[in-house]
Amino acid sequence: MRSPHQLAMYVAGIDIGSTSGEALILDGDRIVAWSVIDTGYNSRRAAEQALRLALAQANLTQDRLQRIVATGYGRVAVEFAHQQVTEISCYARGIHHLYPQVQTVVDIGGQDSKVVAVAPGGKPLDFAMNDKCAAGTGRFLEVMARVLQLELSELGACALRARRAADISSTCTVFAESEVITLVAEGTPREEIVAGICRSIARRVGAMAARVGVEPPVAFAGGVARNSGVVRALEEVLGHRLIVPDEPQIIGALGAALIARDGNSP
Amino acid sequence: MGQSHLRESAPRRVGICSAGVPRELLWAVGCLPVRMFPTAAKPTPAEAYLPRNFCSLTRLLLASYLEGEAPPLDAVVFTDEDDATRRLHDVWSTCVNIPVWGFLEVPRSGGLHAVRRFAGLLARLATEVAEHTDRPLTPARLRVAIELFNQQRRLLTALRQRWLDGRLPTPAYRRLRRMALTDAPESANDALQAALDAADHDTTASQLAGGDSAPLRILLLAELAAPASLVRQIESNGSRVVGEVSDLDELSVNAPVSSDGDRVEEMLTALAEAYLNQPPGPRLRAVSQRIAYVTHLAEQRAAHAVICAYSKFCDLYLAEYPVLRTELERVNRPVLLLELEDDALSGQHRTRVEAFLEMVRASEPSH
Amino acid sequence: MNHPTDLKVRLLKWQLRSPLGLLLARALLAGRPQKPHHRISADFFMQIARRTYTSRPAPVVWSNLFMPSELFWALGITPFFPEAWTGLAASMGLSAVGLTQSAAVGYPVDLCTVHRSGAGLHQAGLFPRADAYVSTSNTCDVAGQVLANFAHTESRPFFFLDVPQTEDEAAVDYVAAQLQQLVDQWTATLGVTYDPDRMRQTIRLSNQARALALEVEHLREAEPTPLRGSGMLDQLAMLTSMPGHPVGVTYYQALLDYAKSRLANPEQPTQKTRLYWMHLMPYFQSELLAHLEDDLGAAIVAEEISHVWWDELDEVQPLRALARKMLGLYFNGPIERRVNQAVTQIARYRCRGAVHFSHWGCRQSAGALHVVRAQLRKIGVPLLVLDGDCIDPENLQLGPLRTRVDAFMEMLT
Repeated sequence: MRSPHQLAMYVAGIDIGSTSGEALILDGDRIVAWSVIDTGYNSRRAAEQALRLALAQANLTQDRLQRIVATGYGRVAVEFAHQQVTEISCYARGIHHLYPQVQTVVDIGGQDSKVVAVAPGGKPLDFAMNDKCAAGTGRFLEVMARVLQLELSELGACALRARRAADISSTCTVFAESEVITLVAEGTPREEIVAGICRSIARRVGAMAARVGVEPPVAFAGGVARNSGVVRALEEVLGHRLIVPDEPQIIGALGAALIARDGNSP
Repeated sequence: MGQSHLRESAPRRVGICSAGVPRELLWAVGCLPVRMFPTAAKPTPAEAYLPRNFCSLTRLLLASYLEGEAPPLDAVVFTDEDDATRRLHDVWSTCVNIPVWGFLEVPRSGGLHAVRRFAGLLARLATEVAEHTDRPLTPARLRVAIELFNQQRRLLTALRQRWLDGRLPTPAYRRLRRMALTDAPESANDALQAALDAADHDTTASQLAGGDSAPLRILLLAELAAPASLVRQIESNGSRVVGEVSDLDELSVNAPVSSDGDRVEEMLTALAEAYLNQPPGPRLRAVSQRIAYVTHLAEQRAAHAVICAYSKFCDLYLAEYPVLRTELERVNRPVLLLELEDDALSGQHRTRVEAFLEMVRASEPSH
Repeated sequence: MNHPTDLKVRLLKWQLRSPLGLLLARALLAGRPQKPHHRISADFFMQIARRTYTSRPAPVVWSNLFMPSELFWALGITPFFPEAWTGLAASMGLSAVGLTQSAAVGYPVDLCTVHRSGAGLHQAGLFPRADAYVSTSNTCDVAGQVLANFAHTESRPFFFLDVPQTEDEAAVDYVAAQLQQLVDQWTATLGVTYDPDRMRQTIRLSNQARALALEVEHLREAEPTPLRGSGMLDQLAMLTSMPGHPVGVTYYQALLDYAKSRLANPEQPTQKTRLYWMHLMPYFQSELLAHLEDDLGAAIVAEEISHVWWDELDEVQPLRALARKMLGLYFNGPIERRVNQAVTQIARYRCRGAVHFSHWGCRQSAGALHVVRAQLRKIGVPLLVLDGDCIDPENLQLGPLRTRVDAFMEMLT
């Protein structure tokens, strides 16, 4: 009699972003394992490492994987993948799997942000991505966290303690950094500055979302979705409560794995 | 004939964003023409409808109305002033709940054909707007309106002279000019007259610049208006502003418009002629004329230097800049260009202004 | 004025100003494999180069792209369109020269690179001398201003044609009157004469070329479409310079014959999805369109800028006809014109999606895309907006654009 392992059909999705890389192994509808690593400077190595970690967790070897789909900024470098699919399609697919009713998904990643209108069935209906500027991305938060001598993970809670948000008017990350330094020098409470930073990023993404058209329910995925300050600011800007998955960072990898499972067309 | 017949109902507030729209015309058909100024709203909400790399003044205007921060309007009238305004007109109705009552094409020359065409377009605009106000254009109404705004021109010209003589502080002068562009002309004229009387009775010279040396005299160039923060910085730095070539000040119809004639057509032609022959802005592409005007003004006002305070991505003004700068420097007037996202000067901009003024001061023999 | 010391630029300057140099370039081009219509257009532009740089048998007038070429040919004037030649310079890798030079003389870096690079290339001595300048007020603010700047600096006559946003008879009168003024100015200052017979012949040639171009448009409706869209995105240069010149008829006949020959054997063998392309493209070497067409199987079956937008010209009232041609341009007037054209073409060519290449710095084309997107959404056609640059390779990031293009195609298939 064959073991459950032998009967399973394992597939994997690998999402290689500019800052982090994720791998996720799926068996049917069941998430068997997943991993998150820093991408570093070599996307291919990052993909291999992420997959290796996930396989180890699942107690599997790579030859047990029927199909691998790569997505994200570094997808082209994942030569061992059977297919490369953009993160737009993967995010739509991934969020649809977890929350079939979601019609809009917002993703704020390390160096880009996107809004995808999701059709029934999980295909993207329309999308918008940030234009060449870091101001609506995780990079913006990283820069500001460094200036304020906070860990990225501390930003959300800090923002939520603020009674008001400081005004960050610069639309450029570099100039906003100067502005924040000035605010610090003037004695503006750190919480208010962080709340202002969150609001700034939310407004930038909100404007992009309006181009696509925001239909609720709205989900928020990507690493920045862990920042409760940005979540609250984005909810205020969009005027809708946001659905934030438990593991917002793995949605792209999940979508890629689902596409690997379901065949050729995303 | 008083104003009473014009005040049967309160005038409808109609926003305009061009110095090419004859305010007399709108007043005569029962509207208060309100020049649209941006508020302190951030431009980000406008980026849902206009690209980020788009005239910042236009984005700020749109953002002001999207955020509901701008003074209320009953309608707007757009023009084909430039690419930015045309595209603003295109997107306006999709995102702002203020109706568009007209689109006025303003010819780009003051020649005979252009004047004739413009007079016809003004008649059409009057008809379109009057459909909403139910106050058709008549010779009497138009004559009264022209005379009212001529009175305003006389008052503003006098106030400008008081300002140049140092009897009216710059912030007050600019506030009065802005009020003239946004408030009902009758009450605006009363306020202007009161300010003129006050300036004439004030025998003390206005302390516009401190220090022992004569102030550095700066001519400003801008589109709608130079930022108040820039004017403040200049005048707190031992310098003074001696002119502003913008819609707020010099780029307007300064001379009285003729209200002669019994027919509307005659007065519309006079209006067309006056508005098409205002001091030249870059929209005419009459480079020699524009340069001659700016250099003459700089000479007349004994300006030591020029600061161009333009909106970022405002192509019409930025594209003429290289030649304007070359010609001004040829007549020993250094030029500083600022490309501004909004009215608040950033630290970088403030530093540049300060450095520029220091540089000019150091090179001026009298300083 | 600082002259670039780059060898390529020096060689080019010699080549452009030397009859021998131009002959050499012509011979080199003739030796390369070329499609028949490309041979004709290359020859035509070499002729323009000779007439503007070296022999100068007729006055040379610089113009923006939307002056009707018929007027120049009818008056025996050689037109020079700096926007088109800036595109050509970009394809030769010369954009950096133009952009550096223009920044050095003070052109702000956020202005459209087409005009900035053109200003810089002129500053570098790579463009021919002008006897006069002319510009229309459409389609954009910058074109006319830059030409006015040159005219002022060089003390040359400049005529600015004010083109209204409406198309009524009063607007036609107004533009026609200006065209007459322009003709009067040129006959007085450039020594040319207005010959009504010559004008009539020019109009006839224009109409013939137009009819042939319309046949090409009709052929492209076929499925699969015979011609690659990427090869048709330079049509704007032909449509704006050839009508009225005999070469217009020759060129479009050759293009038509070529298109017919490719019906059974399309240039692009794999065509998965039909697209409508709006605005321009990168004129420097870029993989973007190859990726779209060859890697993803997208067939660009119609382009906004290759479409004949004007009606047959009336040879009895030529100036009024030309006025109508100028007023009817889709880039003129409210955004609805571009939307209506897009909707019509999308239906005609059975396009599944539309792509707008947003040239950084082109406010008039990208400003109201919100409206275009919304209107196309109503007919079920998604619009992909690609932010890039036609002239400056440093302003086009291929990676992010590939992601957008890939995602768009995933969405459509």
